Amino acid sequence: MSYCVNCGVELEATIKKCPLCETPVMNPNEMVKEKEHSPFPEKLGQVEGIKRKDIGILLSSVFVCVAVSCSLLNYFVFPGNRWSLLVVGFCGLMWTMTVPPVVVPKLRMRISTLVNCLMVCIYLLLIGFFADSFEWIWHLGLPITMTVCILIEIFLTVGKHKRTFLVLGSTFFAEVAILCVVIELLVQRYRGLPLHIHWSSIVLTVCVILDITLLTMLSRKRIRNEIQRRFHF
Amino acid sequence: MNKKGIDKKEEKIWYKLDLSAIVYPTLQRQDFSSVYRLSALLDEEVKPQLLQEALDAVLPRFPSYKVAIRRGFFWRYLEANNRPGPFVKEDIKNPCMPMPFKSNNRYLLRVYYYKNKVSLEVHHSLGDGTGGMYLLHTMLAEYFRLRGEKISTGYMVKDIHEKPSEGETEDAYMRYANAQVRPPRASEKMYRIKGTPEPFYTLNMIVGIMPANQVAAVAKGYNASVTEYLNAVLLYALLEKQKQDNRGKLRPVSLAMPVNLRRFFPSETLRNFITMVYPTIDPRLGDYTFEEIVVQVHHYMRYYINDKFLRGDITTNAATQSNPVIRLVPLFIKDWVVRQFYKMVQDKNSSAGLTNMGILKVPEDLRPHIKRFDICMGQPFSRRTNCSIITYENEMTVTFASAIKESDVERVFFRKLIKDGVPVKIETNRN
Repeated sequence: MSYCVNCGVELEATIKKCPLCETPVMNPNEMVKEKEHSPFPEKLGQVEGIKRKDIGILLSSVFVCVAVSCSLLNYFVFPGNRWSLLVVGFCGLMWTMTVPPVVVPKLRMRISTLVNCLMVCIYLLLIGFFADSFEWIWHLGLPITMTVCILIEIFLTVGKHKRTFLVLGSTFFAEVAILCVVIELLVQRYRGLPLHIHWSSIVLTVCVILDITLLTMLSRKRIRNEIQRRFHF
Repeated sequence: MNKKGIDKKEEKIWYKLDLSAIVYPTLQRQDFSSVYRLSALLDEEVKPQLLQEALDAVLPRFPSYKVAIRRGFFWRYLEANNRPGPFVKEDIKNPCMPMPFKSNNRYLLRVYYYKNKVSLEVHHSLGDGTGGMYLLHTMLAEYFRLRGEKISTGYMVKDIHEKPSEGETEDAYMRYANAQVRPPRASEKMYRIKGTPEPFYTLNMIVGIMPANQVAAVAKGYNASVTEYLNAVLLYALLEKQKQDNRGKLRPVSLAMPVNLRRFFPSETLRNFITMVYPTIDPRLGDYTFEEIVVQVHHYMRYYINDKFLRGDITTNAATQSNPVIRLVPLFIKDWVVRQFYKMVQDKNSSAGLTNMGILKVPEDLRPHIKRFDICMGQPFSRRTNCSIITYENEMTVTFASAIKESDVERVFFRKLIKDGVPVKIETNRN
């Protein structure tokens, strides 16, 4: 038997250093018995994964069912234009948005957002194909979708590095302002009007005020502490 | 009987969560569950097949443990679980791992074996340490019966052929929550141990084994009971740690200690029936010597641990649950509120946890087969250390469980015992 020279406690035969003070066990009369079994196992446990497939299967079957039945209705009962393509596309879009996040809980938000954005673009093209008009898609649909996607990606990146209420809040308001301005400018370009901001200037002003307030709070520790004191609960 | 061969009556069995159990599922996180572990060291290597048979035979006798947890609209509840399992598994190095409600065929308990050790891990929403200990003892008795021994019932060994009484599954809190006043809860921020967090799922255990009679003799020398003495030693260790931290602003040091209410209010329940007391030392009032800490703890315990104060405490806790407005609030809102309250108030109320299960006794014919019992309070909600004590025959084991790298508190604790003349043997799962 070995004792820790610092702590005075007896150490179980397989312990190589005192767990209380990290002093190595050096007993020349009794070297550490390798064959002796530790009272604790070596195997590390892992938490059993939860079966989330069921809800994924349920959602998938609902979407597949809707898509197939609408296609059949379109083919046999209401033939004419290919309206079922829109339903099938919508089911595909909903499947992409709901099933992967349910089945794969650790799915990265940024990847998920990119895939969802891609699916929305494809669906818009499908609508264009159905309506036989692509002009509004090139000038409005796709640019707005891309802008939203880029803004969400920026928000998620900021959130990953600085997850404070003030930083996230200021990013959010800045992005809302950018989005409104972009939408208004795109609409004007589409309608062939001169590029001027009107209604989005109000949103822009409000967001700039909010952002300046939040950034001031962010940069001045004294103000931050004051707010923390006055609003604590 | 339905198509699956399940008795329709059995399908309907469900239990409301008891007063304590309501909180535990709310605190469930991906990396945290309120799980505790009870272990027994046997006289020979465990035979897993027999252990599984024993578990299968015993579990139906404990209907409130053969359950799954479900979400209702307003509250969660426990529902009889007829799925296969739970299955005994080879033990792991990191005990008390999180217990997702949908894993393990929805069972909220796990049974492990390793060499001559049998361990039972139970989610706290099923019951407290006493309830779990009944299950462990009955399972061990059945295990030895299957091995050909004759083991009688008594103490914590239940007769598995007997029908479980209604009292065993009752929510005993509600029976005694009838004081005419509701003492307010203390809510001061206590000293918190700062430590380096261990990687995900690591739970460091340091087990100190010591002769119970020597600890009792030392405690007597301080005119205190064993629990009071060990409480004082842990408070002393925490005070020393705070001094070492050298953070300028001192905070009071407090322990969260569960009290077994069955000692004061007769109940057969195998579910939760505990309440917390918080022995505290405030170093802002001046430096306390160890003797002064013991005196403080001794008087605190004598003043607060009696049926009058405990009844008041139960009434305060029950008042929230029985408030009609709170009852009408949907579960997801309750969850959010309780979690915030726990994080901001309850968890900050204490610097460490300490529980003493006391002296365990087993039927005479089971005694030679059991060498030792261990208890581990499980992973703490926040970075701190939990200490659990149990005594069997003349062997007392003190188990520290923490998810931080440093073992400063444990070091001061055991060194103090050595200094007081108690020989300590250390076992650990740390590398």
